[in-house]
Amino acid sequence: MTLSLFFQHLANGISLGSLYALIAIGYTMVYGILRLINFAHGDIVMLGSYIAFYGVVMFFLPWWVSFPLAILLTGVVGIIIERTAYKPLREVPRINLFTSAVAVSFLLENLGLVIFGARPKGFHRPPVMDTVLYIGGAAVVSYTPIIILTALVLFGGLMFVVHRTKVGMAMRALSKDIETTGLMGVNTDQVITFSFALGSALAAAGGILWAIKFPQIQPLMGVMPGLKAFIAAVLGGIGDITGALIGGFLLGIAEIMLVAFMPNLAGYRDAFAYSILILLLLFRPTGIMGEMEPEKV
Amino acid sequence: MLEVRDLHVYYGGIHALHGISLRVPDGQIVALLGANGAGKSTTLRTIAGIVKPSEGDVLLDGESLIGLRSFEVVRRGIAMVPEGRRVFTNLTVLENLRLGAYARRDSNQVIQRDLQEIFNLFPRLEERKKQSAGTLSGGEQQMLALGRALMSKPRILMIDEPSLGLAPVLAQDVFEKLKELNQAGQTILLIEQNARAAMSIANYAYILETGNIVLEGPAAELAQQDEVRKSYLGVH
Ligand SMILES: Nc1ncnc2c1ncn2[C@@H]1O[C@H](COP(=O)(O)OP(=O)(O)OP(=O)(O)O)[C@@H](O)[C@H]1O
Ligand SMILES: [Mg+2]
Repeated sequence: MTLSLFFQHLANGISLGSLYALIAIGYTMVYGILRLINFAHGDIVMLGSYIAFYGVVMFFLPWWVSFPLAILLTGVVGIIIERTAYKPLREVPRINLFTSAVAVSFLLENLGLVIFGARPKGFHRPPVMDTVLYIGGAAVVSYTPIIILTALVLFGGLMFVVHRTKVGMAMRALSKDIETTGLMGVNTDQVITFSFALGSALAAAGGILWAIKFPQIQPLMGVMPGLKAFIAAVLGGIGDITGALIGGFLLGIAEIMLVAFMPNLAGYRDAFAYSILILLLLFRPTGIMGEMEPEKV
Repeated sequence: MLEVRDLHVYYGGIHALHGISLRVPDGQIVALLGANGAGKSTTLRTIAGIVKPSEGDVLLDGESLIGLRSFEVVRRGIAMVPEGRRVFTNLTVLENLRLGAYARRDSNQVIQRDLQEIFNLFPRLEERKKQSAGTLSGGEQQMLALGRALMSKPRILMIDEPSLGLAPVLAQDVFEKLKELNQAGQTILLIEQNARAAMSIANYAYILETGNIVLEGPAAELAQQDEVRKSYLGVH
């Protein structure tokens, strides 16, 4: 393998990893706060890419309007889902909450099948994202660096919000102790809703970038990225945002490298991701960044 | 003045408070004493809006607080230091204190000044302000929990067992601080198992037994009563 080919694979792995990471953040934030695996999160990814798609083909918006708008609207959908399907169930046993998340997932997928249709749709890459660049002798299509850069900007923004703003401080406190956060004068419901909006918006961004990378969308397209991102979140230590980023990048790079170096194993790519999950659960159940802390009782 | 009237609280089938009434006049330290499981924490948690009573009222200057959520109660001016301190161990000391001021609309300058006041009161916290709160000792965490509650500039400060798990010397320290705060005008509702220490700084005390107030009076007088001396002060 030549060096330039290796870098091509690496770039590809990083861009896939950044998508996993974008989606993993939503899983990890919701888990950190509510101890809920938001089963519907992958379908939010799908929704984001469809809204962006229809913005362009049905409402003739330029992509640079349609994409941010789709991110915003998906954030709003996240709020609606949280308010209707999760918030009323916060005081009941957690299994009900989880069941509700599964129901939301099926609802979104089936609504997608009915409204958008089962047939895959071709997602139009904006021309700027579809030009071939030569970087140090290696040929890359411009969407790869654009995906990576966009993801990095979003991660930077997220880190700023979480670590440098008041609401971010409240989010971190909330993930430790909801009741005491309320005693600080924080409207905890509002902060939880905000976290859902943020996680859903990032998932939408992930969905749009996903559709740019693999330009075909269909109503079940969120399932696989959702599962992979979930694995990434567990890999990094679920509940920890930095962990989700690390887990996402690791998984993306590992997957691509597996296929690159052992092409005859390409068919085992997904099995590989699940094997990582199982090994992790056996040997380091708290993930890379997770604290070895006994579960709160 | 904070006033609790005929408060009943149930946890499922457990009748935890059987209609208790108490008053916390401005500028005073009022102590609520009693054995394990008497209902002390339940009383504070009900005032704070965490637990909903089935009957009765909680009034701040005549206005009912019933039905308010806990963040709204704080915004009305009642802060609580919860049992077991519950500082945010994943935040720094400074962040814990800033979180205490979350609901305030004051300028950063004013909040900065109040922070400095807390640091003057608890110099240890200033030395450790960049440290994660999880690295503090139990006594320091108690100081932090107290400082955090004070950062909301409460009219009434409620404290649930500040001496819990502290060495006697440290507990004494905490009581000194409370007295200092009170002398500066802070109204305090104090829960304690260490009745002796609490009575030594309180103006008035209530004694709670299985959800009922069985005795009340000026702390100095109460401390002289035989029953109190026997059951709560360990004098035989
Ligand atoms: N969340 C709860 N669910 C069920 N019962 C509870 C709950 N919290 C308290 N209780 C019960 O209510 C009663 C009063 O408890 P509370 O915590 O108010 O006592 P306390 O006076 O603060 O005791 P301690 O000194 O041990 O802290 C006890 O019988 C307790 O078992
Ligand atoms: Mg208690």
